[in-house]
Amino acid sequence: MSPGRPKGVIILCVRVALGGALLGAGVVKMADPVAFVGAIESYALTPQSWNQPIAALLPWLEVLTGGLLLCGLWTRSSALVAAGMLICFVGAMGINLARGADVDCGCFGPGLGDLPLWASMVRTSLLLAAAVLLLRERQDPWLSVDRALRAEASGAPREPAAVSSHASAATSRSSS
Amino acid sequence: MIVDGTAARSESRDRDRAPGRLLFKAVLIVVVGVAGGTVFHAATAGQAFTGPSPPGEIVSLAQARTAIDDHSTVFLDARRLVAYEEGHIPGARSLPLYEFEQAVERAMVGVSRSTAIITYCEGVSCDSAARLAVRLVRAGYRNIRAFPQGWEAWRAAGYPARGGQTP
Repeated sequence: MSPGRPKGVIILCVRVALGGALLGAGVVKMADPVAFVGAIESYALTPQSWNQPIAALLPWLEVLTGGLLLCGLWTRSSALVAAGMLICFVGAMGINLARGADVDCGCFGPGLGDLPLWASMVRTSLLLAAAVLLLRERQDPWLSVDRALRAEASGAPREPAAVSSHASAATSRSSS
Repeated sequence: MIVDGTAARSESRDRDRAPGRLLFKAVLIVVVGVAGGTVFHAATAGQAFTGPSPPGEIVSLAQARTAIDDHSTVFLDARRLVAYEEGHIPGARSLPLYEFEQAVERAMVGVSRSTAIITYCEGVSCDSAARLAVRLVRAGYRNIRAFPQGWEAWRAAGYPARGGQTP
């Protein structure tokens, strides 16, 4: 087993988990936009007139970002967008927690799992950590379109790339 | 192997030096997502995002005031519990729209399907009262009316108010 394999597997799992979570959350919100407007309203952070536009745009962004992460296309850029959204979500939950308002998270539709807000905030924070991890990962992830495109462009075989990246790191260390 | 490693290092450096490209793609993702949502919103003329009109009669401020003295009418506050606790119409019960499933059983204790019910939320800018009324009709309650002017108009009129715990 190459030294890069465990890390590659972890990154793959993180990418699939984050992508799946965002895609699922977006689809559920798209399916019931009225409930999502209600969820945004319950956070009481935005003017009433903003709630519908936010409810219209956010699920699309989640589905798009989640889909890209699952495919591994533009992975780091998708992770950056995901991180931006998740920071907003954590902030919104944090403000309501500080207010003492135990609103329904609304993350995956109304009342899913009946998690208290603090638990939803922890879950969202974990997703945020996953997004940051993907953002910091500069190698093309395994089983990704990014990696396939890169391999095709360079004509290099796909699997040895993980080994070659370590060779590159070793070369880099020896040269410095 | 060394050639591969050098290529990978060079590739990695290229990407390190291209934060602009990373940002550009991120902005493109946001733009496409926003465009999709905007087209969907425009295509449905926003109807997918608004609850239907209140199923029953609309109650005016004066009628709501009169109904308070009629103890057979139940007022339901569709706002968040925190807003309810800060102030509400006397005798009103809290049934936040977004916590409907969890809260309806508790809120409707002692309320029969034929009991006169008036729903309200913050004011004309919110539609939670109408949407709550729709959900109650779906749940089998038959005598539902909405008070769209809501808490804002009630408070502005100087009518009696209560703060405190859920009854």
